[in-house]
Amino acid sequence: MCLLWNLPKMSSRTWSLFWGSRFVKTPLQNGIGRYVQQLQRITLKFCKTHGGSQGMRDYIEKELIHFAKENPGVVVYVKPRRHRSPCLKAEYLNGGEEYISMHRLPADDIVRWMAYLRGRSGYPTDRIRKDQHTDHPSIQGPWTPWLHRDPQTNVAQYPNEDLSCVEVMGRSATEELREMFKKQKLVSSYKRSVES
Amino acid sequence: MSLPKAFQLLRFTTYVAPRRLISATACTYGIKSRWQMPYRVTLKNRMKEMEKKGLLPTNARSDFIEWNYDSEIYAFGKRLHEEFDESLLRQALIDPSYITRETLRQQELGVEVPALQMSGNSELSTEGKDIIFDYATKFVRATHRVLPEEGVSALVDYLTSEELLSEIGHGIGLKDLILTEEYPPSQVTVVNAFQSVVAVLNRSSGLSRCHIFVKDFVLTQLVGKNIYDIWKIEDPVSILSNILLQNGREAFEPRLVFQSGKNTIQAVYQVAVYCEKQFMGTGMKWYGETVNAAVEQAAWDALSRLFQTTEAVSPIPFEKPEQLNLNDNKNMPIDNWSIDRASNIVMC
Repeated sequence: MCLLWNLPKMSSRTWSLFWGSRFVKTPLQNGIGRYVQQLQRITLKFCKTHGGSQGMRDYIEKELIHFAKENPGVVVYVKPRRHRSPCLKAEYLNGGEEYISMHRLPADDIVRWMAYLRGRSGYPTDRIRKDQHTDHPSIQGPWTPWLHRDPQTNVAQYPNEDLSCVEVMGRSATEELREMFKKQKLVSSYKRSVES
Repeated sequence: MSLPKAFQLLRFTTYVAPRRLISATACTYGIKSRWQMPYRVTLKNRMKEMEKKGLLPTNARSDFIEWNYDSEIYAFGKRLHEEFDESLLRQALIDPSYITRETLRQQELGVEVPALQMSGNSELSTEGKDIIFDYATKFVRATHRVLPEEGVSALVDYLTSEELLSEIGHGIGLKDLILTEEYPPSQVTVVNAFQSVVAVLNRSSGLSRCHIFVKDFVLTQLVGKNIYDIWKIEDPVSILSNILLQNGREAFEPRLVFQSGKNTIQAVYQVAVYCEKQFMGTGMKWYGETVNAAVEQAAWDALSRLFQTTEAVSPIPFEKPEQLNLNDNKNMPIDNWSIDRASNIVMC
């Protein structure tokens, strides 16, 4: 049941006003030379007795060792705190930090949240304007009225009869279609007369 | 009123029934009043400003309880996919200022001869600096063989500049690992540590592995950069005429190709440069507000065509560094730049 009916509706413009938007970017040209995983350390905070940390305790017992083995570049800290709800704190190479509450979440969910944090770049989750970005949108440059123009017009003397007359165009597509239609009609009427 | 009391009450209850207490909703779903967000944004901006002015206390990451330097050192190498000699790597991350501070602190505590078995990274830093400079110079020469030596040195200066190297050092996570007096570490400290890391890699895994490291982290910073933003050509017209003179060609002939809005504030001219009736260049993307400015743009374009640094050239081959011909031969200097020699060099 949706009970959020009295939340104010937010247009994308209002959203961008507060949260901003950005283009796709990667820290330090990552991936052109080699890929460096941006997550540098992650802290799992939990309570040893409280029920809200049950999922986190299960995760630490069963899954954490696999995560640490698969990601030797990530320093994993486990921090027990008495009677406080569990959370994940991720720190990235570019100085970004992410904090996610894991209160009453089962171990399976924590596996997924860890995978999510592992793949992040560390930049904040802004709205990304496009899926791709280039610093050079056009090699040729912007269109100008001079592009592909005959340089002869530069030295023409005006008034000029040749340049002032109506440009002679070839047959248009509509005319072509009309012609084809006429031909088709002629052929079909000829066939009909032969059959009769 | 004429309505009975009970009916009035009923009306009241039907009105209230579909609504819930707003405070309960706010507690459950985190709905805030509309001044809450601007208030928090203001607080955040104020904090950013204080941080910029240095009014906020900055704790080093190593001050916190969840910190294990051994694990951090182990993860550092694994993250970069490199095998470092561990004791050398530890030495590379010790700034001399740290040793001075530790000695003083121990003396204050009453230790007369402090037992500090550590040496700083000064020596490693110079070694790494030379490696980076040497390889960057050779690589830039090999990938831009027609570019004059002045341009090569400008690019190498950019690649070995303090700003860029400290940015790279921060980007591979040196900020928290460096043992130094101040926190956050200064630019020079981070640069020294990065250069030392390069030197350590040279000693641990060999020079070729070290070159690949430098290529992946330092030289890739050239991607997406315009060479002429880094190497500023002051007077392209005189440089072009000088090159033509040196090569025994005729002086170049600027021709007005198009013009628009003459004698207005929006006047714009396009000029093409010809030499011995051969096209050399034109202001393709940048025109001039005056004829002289347009000539300058055209000369600049002619130079970038001569030096084979237009935007349409193929990208720098980072994935095949072994195919590059790295040697100590200098490129042609700009005062003695030969068109014939440049046309014999084929870039592939």
